[in-house]
Amino acid sequence: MDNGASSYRRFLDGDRNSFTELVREYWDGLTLYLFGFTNSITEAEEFAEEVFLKLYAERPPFSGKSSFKTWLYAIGRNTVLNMLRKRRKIREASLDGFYDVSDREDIERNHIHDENKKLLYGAMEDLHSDYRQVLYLVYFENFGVAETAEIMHKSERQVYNLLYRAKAALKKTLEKEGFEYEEL
Amino acid sequence: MRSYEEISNRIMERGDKLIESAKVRAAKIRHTSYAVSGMCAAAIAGIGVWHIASYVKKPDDGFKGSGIVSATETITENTSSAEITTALTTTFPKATAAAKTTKMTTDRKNSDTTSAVPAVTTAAVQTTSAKTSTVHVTTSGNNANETAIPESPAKTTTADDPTPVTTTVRPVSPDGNGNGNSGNSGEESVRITTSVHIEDGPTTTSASINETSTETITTAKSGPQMGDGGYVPPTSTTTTSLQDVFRANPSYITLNEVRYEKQAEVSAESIGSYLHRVDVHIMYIRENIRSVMKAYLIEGVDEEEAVAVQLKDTDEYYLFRNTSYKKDEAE
Repeated sequence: MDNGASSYRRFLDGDRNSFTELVREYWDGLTLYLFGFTNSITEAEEFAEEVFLKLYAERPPFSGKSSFKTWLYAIGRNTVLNMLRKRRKIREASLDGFYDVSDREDIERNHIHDENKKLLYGAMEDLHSDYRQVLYLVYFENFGVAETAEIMHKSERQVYNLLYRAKAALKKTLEKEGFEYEEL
Repeated sequence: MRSYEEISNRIMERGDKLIESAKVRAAKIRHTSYAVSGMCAAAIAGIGVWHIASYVKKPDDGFKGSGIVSATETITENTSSAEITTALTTTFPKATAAAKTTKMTTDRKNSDTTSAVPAVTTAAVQTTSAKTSTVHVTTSGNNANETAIPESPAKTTTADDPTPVTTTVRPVSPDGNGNGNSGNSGEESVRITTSVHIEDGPTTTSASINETSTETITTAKSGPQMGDGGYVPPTSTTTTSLQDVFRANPSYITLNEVRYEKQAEVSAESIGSYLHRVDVHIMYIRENIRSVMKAYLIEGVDEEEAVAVQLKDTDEYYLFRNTSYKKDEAE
């Protein structure tokens, strides 16, 4: 059992500190994953907050069929898609609500320590949303293909194809910018 | 930059508010559902009662008279010569213009009106007399509608034995046309037919007829009628009302499985509050006529001891006393 699952179990038993542990452990990764849906880090943070709020208020049961991280990211994806479906339009938010919101650089700096990953993540911004998500899940969050397929609600074959096309698109983008990386 | 603790606290604060509002909403829904379900139950019960009420059978407002009650009684008639008052000797079947009138005396226990009708003399020798009479009792509405139809003369004939008389009691419509059931109109009619089979042959006029009937009727008798040589059975028609039958005969009611028997008439001033409708059983010539009337309390009298019953379609109240009532037991 991973730490996330045990923390969530303790939270369900009434330990509020365990919820803080979950936030500390999964906030940055979930926010960056959800950033792939919106291209806005503030909206990604808002989505991440909604995901954790859902965990806190509704307390959905965790069956343990997958890792807690996979389960959490799947909840995040469904939540974001539902919210985007409801909004349907760009929401204009007041700047007053964003005084305490982190900027993207802070999150990236905390979460992505490897310099190569930073450069690679920067190059991913121009990619399609699905390419960005699959690359982030596989290469930044180190999910396997099966877990990525579960999170993205796709088959493993679709994830393989998506990952192949995402790498080709990223390589093309990097070549345009003069970036050379032998592993690509 | 917000710390994770701040983010966590913010989420938990929002979550607590969300949970609290959900609880309030659930409580509101629960309370509303209780109220709505109660109203629905009351509405369903009301509709049910209203629906069932149409199927509740209304109390019978009088006997239906679906069947004809027949009773046979034997009337012993006095045939002694002492009671013969008039004897005329004529030849039968020819009726003569000089027919004389025989005075007939009818002796009844509860007779109201007796009219003597002309009698056509017939046979020469008289020994016994037998009477054939058809009694029509027609009751309509409030008052006794007494009708005397001297259409056929009473005929006396020789008979050695007491003649059996068949009395038929049947309800007729208030208009007296004999249509039968009265339904729930509250107006009852009774047709009583008494017939005696008469043998043909030389007859003599009879002097007096004693009937032991206990009916309260108005009787009009007619003598023999001679047409074109044929013989027409004599009939007498009597009409009386249910009210008269009620007044003249013992009656009883049953309240809460207690039998109350009719006593004297009571004044309207002593009548108390209305109780409910009761079936009044009038014992009339060994028959039981049932009629629905209203029962009332009597001022200063315990309901278990006696009640008052208003005679239908009248302002008369009659005392019905519980015969098994004992004051000591009630106290």
